[in-house]
Amino acid sequence: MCGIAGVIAKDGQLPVFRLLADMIGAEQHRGEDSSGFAFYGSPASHYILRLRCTEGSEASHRKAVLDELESLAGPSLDITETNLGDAADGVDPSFMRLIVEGDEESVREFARLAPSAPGVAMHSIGRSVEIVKDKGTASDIMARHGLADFVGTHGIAHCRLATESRVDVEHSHPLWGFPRPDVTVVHNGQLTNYNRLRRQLEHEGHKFSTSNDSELIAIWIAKRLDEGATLREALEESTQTIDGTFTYLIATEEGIGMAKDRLAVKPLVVGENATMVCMASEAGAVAAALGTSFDSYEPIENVVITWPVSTQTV
Amino acid sequence: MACFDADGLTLRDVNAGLREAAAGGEDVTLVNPNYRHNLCVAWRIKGSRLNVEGSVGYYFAGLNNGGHFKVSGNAGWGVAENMTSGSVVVEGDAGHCAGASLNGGFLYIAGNASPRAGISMKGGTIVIGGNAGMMTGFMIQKGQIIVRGDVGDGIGDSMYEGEIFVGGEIHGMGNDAIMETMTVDDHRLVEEKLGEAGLTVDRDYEKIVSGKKLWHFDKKDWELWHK
Repeated sequence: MCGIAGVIAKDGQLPVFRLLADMIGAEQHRGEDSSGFAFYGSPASHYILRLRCTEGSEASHRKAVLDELESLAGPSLDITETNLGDAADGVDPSFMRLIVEGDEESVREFARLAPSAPGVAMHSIGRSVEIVKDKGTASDIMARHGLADFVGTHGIAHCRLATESRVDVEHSHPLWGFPRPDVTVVHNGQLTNYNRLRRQLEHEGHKFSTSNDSELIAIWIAKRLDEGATLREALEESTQTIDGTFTYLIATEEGIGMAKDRLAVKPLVVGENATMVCMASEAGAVAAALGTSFDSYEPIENVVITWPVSTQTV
Repeated sequence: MACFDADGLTLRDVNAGLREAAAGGEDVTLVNPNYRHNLCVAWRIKGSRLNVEGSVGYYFAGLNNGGHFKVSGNAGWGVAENMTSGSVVVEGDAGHCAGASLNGGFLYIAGNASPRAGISMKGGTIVIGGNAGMMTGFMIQKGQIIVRGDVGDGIGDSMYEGEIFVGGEIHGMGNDAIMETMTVDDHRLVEEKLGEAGLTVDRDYEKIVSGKKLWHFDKKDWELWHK
């Protein structure tokens, strides 16, 4: 199974984390191995890098990771660590949040190199997005990562019942679309041509951080966006190129898109009210965000929908 | 009439409580169903009536044998799956595989039905007031499906027996599904079954049955299946 969820404001900002946590909480029975969130706010002038120190949470490891990333970044980028709280508050100190300041070209080069740094598991980089994911349920993550107050324009989330790859933080969703900043995916299903497409993408120089097939969707879509495709075009092509069962949500700084395979085996319910559009695997999760009164529908097979920031469905 | 509030109770307690409330022969109203899965599954109280105020999750009234259910909102996947007898009415929309493996009884979806309604049904009747998704009546073996609105691609794919009647547009026939001329008996059947749902015949219906070419499928006849 697995559950996915997304929310986007029709205008202004929303308490994105709280909404997504409520939605995932309402469909957590679809998977309790891990949960994760990608939050989007209005693009900042700097980039935010979310990562985890895989070697441990001691200060020495964190320092080593920071030094390594600073040397990769070179003189054109400034890296500052944000304090996420103390272990005493329940915040896991192996998770780090870095502010990266500099020109886009240097940041992109850095984003290309950083995932290979020793002891670094890179979760996201972007001017708009931050990924927070961990083992356990949405409420576990709320307790461990202290995000309840996050306000933004949109976001996507996932609860995982692992089928194709291991259960750890890095194999959890959302997954980042290396190397393009701000592209993330949550996926319910499994891909049948993953190995072939992965080899093709690796041949073109793309790096995979996990053996989770869903990562391929993010990287493939990010590649098409970098090649000039619109999100809708990339999604439409993906339903022809990517094979298997899938309903997935892709988020970028510009909004959210969904695609469903031609057999329509994986669910999605879309509901909206005056202030937001919500999408989730189950109607109960949509209701957790929208209350009892909302219009809803279930997208059909082979369909692509995009919801840009601050506008309604196009 | 008894009123039963599901709010805050475990699924087991809800289902046990509903059975207890219905056992005396009283009509029961369920409030706060909150999209929960597996409500009223394996119901066996013949002639009982249960009204649900709100929307239910997956497999509502699955394996029903004799109960009469009405849902004022939507139903999730697999509503009335494997029903033997009785009736289930959904006033809103239904998710995938409504009436999957239906053996008997009457399922009426007043709104739209998602893909694969009536998949592998073996008896009984499904009436869909709105539109139905792809692969409606996939592998149906017996019984009738009546769709007042449009149907998606692949209607009646690989059907063995049974009939599908469509009042709207058909977006694509399934493998080995063919159209047949409506007989006098067919018109009577459609009118009778729509009447059970409180509907009248207000349009022409197409009849879809099995072409029976896949009954004895041989790999040499690949094109029969994979058109």
